[in-house]
Amino acid sequence: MEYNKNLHLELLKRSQKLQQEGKHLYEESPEDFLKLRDLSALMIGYLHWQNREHYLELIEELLNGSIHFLPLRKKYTSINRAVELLEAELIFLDPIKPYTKAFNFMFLIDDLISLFDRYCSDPTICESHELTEEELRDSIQDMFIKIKQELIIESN
Amino acid sequence: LQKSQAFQAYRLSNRWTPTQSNPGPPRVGGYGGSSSNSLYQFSRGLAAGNSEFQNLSAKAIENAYKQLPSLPVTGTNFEVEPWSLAKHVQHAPDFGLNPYNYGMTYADLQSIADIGLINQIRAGKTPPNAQFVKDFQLRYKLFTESHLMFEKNNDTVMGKSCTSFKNLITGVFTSFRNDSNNSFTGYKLTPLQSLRHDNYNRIGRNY
Repeated sequence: MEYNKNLHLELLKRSQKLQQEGKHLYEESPEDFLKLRDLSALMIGYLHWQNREHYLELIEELLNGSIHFLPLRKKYTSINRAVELLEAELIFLDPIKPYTKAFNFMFLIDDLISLFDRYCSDPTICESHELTEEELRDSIQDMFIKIKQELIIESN
Repeated sequence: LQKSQAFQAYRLSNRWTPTQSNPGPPRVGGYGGSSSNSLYQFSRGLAAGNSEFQNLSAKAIENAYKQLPSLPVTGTNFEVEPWSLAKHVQHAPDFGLNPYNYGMTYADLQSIADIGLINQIRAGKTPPNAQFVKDFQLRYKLFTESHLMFEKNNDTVMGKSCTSFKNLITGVFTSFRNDSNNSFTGYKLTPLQSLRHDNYNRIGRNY
């Protein structure tokens, strides 16, 4: 899917107008609602990608220190909220590269954040899908390498 | 028909938007008050800052929460069990629950997301009381029952084979393990996560 700024603007305006009338875009056209959601997803992904260097710093800090997920979670959540605010004010970003090129990076960040819900701090009660601290560190390290590789591939 | 049902489900979930209310004092759960090892006593002890409760083994803490009954999801074989929700209580606001109504703050929920429920208790910080977990179970159950038409039984959630129920409009989902039929996890997906779920049937990293 390619990013289309004009379509994004048009759908957002329509969605906002319908909301003012107490309606929802989904009611009028589920297809357009999904288009709008996907355009938002591209914008979110692009903002994550724009913050890639800070993400790498935060992951390194996590790997070198004690297990604390909050800084990374905050970064992730703040970017998602930022897009909601930008959309509410009909503010758009002119990407310096196609939004779709950031997809692999943003999927890896998404995977990384979802890992934290699987952390089990006490091995005596860990379930099969949960990760002990050591397993979690290994997984984060693995993700860190993949993210760096992805960025190297992108820069070439 | 599905469009109409989807919108009705959306309207239902939308009524659960969290409301701000004045933070009250910590309220202890009212379940199982007569049992000597009850979650009632456990949460009361924690609220009183009793270190005896802080130092319980992880298994004892898990068992305390597991004293709450599982809730069956009507029309399915799934059950919403208390422990899976207690340890992921940071997601309760996505189902319209306000931690202030249970003597907790959003910072408490963030802390659980950061260090885990067991460490939260060990650190002497506030864990979810019985009533919070019970209400979270009930919301999880009601959400699922109002989204049965969106069942997807071939999902992979955090690497586990699951059945999920998602509201396309809000991105909120619940999931149940296919091996045990027990509740697994649920929260509000971002547009990006929701898109990925639609395209690849997965939420979180696959192993």
